[in-house]
Parts: sequence; structure tokens; C-alpha cells
Amino acid sequence: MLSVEHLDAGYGPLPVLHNVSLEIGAGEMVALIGANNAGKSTLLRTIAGLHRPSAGRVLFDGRDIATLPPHEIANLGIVLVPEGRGLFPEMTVEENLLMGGHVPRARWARAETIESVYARFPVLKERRRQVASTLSGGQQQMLAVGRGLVSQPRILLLDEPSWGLAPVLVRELFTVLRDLNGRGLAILLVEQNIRFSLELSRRSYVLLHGRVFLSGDSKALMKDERVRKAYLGIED
Amino acid sequence: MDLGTVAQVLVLGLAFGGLYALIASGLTLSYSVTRHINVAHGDFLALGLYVLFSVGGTLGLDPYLALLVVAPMLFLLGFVVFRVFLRPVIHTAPIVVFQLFIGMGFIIQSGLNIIYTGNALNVPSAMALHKLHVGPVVVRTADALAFVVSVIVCVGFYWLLRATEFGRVVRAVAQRPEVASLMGVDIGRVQAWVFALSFLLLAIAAALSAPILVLRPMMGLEISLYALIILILGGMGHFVGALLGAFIIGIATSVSLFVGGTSMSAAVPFAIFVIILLLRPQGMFGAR
Repeated sequence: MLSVEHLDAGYGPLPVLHNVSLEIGAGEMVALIGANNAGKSTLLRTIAGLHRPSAGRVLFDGRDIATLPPHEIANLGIVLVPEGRGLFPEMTVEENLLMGGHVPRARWARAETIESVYARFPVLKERRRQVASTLSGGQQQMLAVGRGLVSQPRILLLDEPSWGLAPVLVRELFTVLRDLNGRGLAILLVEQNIRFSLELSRRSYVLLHGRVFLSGDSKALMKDERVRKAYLGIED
Repeated sequence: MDLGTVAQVLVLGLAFGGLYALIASGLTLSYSVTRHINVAHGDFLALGLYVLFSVGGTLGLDPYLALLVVAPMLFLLGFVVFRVFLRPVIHTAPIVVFQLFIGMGFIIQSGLNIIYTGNALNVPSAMALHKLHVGPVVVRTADALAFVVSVIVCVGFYWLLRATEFGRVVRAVAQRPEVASLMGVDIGRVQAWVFALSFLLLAIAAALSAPILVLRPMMGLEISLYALIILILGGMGHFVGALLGAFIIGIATSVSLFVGGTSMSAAVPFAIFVIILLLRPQGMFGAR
């Protein structure tokens, strides 16, 4: 469904990604792990159109989307839940969800999708008139994921969803993501929490210094000593 | 000081306040979605006033009616100014955009000077001398109209921002432009619309102030400065803050005009500005 081919990207003269290729099939859950500054966020931002690659292609259903602006990519069903959650801090819970459904492909069914998000996360319904910045960390994460769902994603890109969450909330998030994937939603998960993401995903890619260092079956990678090294940013 | 005088000073202050509110709320809106300050905002108002003078004169229309012609013109001008001038440099340093707008302001000023000469002009209006009698109180109709209409327009804009899809999108772009683009928002389009709307507010302010003001080619700079201090007073980009700031400055201008004449009224808004900033450097509504 989504494939990245030989992607190079960077900020000005500073290169971040080198010849990165990866693939996510329909309904698949794929994890992208690696140390800080490995280029994980840059890769997600480039797929979502927030960042222009300097070389390579991003194919979605066979079409090259690397040069499309982010608002058009969103309308194809590629939905990024950005690092740090990206909530509109001065808007209410409900307004944040309504923004998720602003994208044309999702707007016609917005009222129903918001109701289904409320059914999944009842606390959001209770607090729907509350301003987003006053929610707890766990509730903010629910809102960020919920808002992504209102956009009716065909593939959900999650950038460090466990960031700032207590372990018990990480488990809860884990369950939600597994359930969403079980219903056929493709997910590309970027995480620093290796165990969490390897347990959750079927396949994984390990980035090291902007390159794909390892990739394969998540269960196999869990036993691979090199993963731990890559996470610490050490090459053999 | 009798009741009639107090009422007149108050109504003039409310009229000034309403006009400042129209001018500054447009400025604060365009700032909130572009993060650049249109320092030629007052000059575009001046341009609107002169166009109103010419259109009204040519067609023999009162400025209130000439607004129907001038409003679409300014709306379109706002669109063009954004697309042609601001958009190509919007990601450069703020100082570049500052210079751009300063330059536009000077071009407008000298253009008006060339076309209309430096002499002060009045826009002829049937309302200029019309007065309202409410019991013992006599107020100028143009003042009362400026206040009432600008309040209605500002309330309408507030509603637009709070309760419509467009308003929600504008607030989203103001709070987190990048995230808004991830929800399908074309940021450039929203910015262009907001810019055009800020110019539409200028057109309305021009029509309401035409019977009250004396037109001079250089008047824009002073208006820009007032709008700028209101923007800062209200807390940069804060719509309600700008409205409140506008009425504080408006009433202060009117009172000081009555107490000390024009030499005092030119300084008082700035004195208030300095005092409030000493107490709350982030503006009345701004976050620290």
C-alpha cells in the first residue's frame, strides 16, 4: 500500500535520511525503531508531506506522492499523529476532533466517526467541552489518536505515541493499537520503546544514523543483539 | 462639565474605540495566521478612505453607500497583497516582511500625495453635520453609527471565529499551522482569506470614519502605530484582547482630546501603552 523507495532527506545542508526504503502492506502493523536522531520523525514527516525529500519516491497505491502538499496527502487517507501529540491547545476536545474530520474525505461522516471515538474513549465524551491543554497526558494521547481516527485513515502514522505516558497507560495504548490493527487499519509506528513496538508489530525496521540498519520479523529482531546496539546508536 | 458634554466625549470615545477595534482586529487576525505584522495596515485604510472619496465624488454617493463599491475592491486588494507580495517571502526573516510593508506604506503615502496633493480633504457626507437628540444629550449621528456598526461587525466576526468551520480552521492555523495542514487545511488559502477579510474590515472602518476624519496622505502611519499598540496591549493575536484594547485607547483618546486638545491626545494612548506594558509585559490577554 505504502512504499518508500531510496529516500534521501535532510534539513538544508544537513542530511538526515540516506537511501531509506521500506514497505507497509494493507492492514499491516509495522514498527520503526531506533535511537534519538536516527531520522524516524523525519521519515514520518516526509511521508506526510511536511518535508520534501531530496531524492527517492514515496508511493501510495502506486502513485508517487513525494511532491504533494500535506493537505492533499491527508486527503488520501495517510494520517500522521505527530510527535508530542500536536493537539490544538486552546481548542476543546470536541473542536480538536472536528478538526480531525475537516479533511474532505472524512467530513461527510464526521458526526458518526466522532461518536465512535467517544464510544472507544468515554472520558473524551465526558470532557468534550474541556480545553485540550487541561487534559492529563493519557487523555491527551487518547485525543490525539481519536482525532487521527476521525480523519478516517487508510494508514495511521504514529510518532512516539507512548511519549510521556506512565507504564500502565502505555499498556492501554498498546491494546487500542492492537484492536485498531485487528480491524484492518494499517499502522506505521515510530517508537523509542523497543519492547512495546516489537511486541505489537509483525515486522520492524531499525534505523541507525538515517539508514535502514536491520529489518525483518519482529519476533526475530527481539532476540537480535544488534537491535539493542542500534538503539544505543552504536555500530559494530 | 454638564451631562451633554460627558455624553459627547463618551460617544466620541466609543466611536474611536469601535473604529480602532475594526482596524486592530483585522491586524491581529492576519498576524495570528501569518506571524507577520502588516505595518502598512493604516496606510491601506488611508487608501480606502481616498478611494471612498473618489468613488463617492464620482458617483455622487454618500460614503456609507460607496462602501458597497469599495468593500469588494479592498477585499480583492487584500487577496492580491497576500498572494503577490507576502506569500513569496512569508518564510523569510520577520525583518524582511517588515521592510516590505514599510515600503508599501511609503508608496501609498507618496502615491496619495501625488494624486490628491498634501492638502487635507473631507469626504462629503449627509451625516457629517447630522445630530441625534436623546433627551438633554446631543451626539453626532456619525459617531453613534461608527460605534454601533463596528460593534455589530466585531460581534459578527467573533461569531465567525468561534462557531463556524472557517473560524475553527483559522484558529487551528493560528495555534498549530503544521498540524492544521495534516488535517487537510491549505494554509496558504486560509492566510489569503484572512488577509482579504482584514482588508474588508478596513473598508468598513473607512466608510464609518469618513464623515468624522480629515484625510491626509500621511495619516496611515499614525493609524498603524495605534493598531500596533492595541495589538500588543491585547496580547499578540488575541481577538478579544484587541477589541478591549481598542476601546481603552479610543476612550482615552477622546477624553484627552477634550481635556488637552490634539497635542495631548496624540501622546496619551502611548502613555497608557507604556503603563500597561510595565504592569503586564505579555499584554492584557497574552500568555506569559
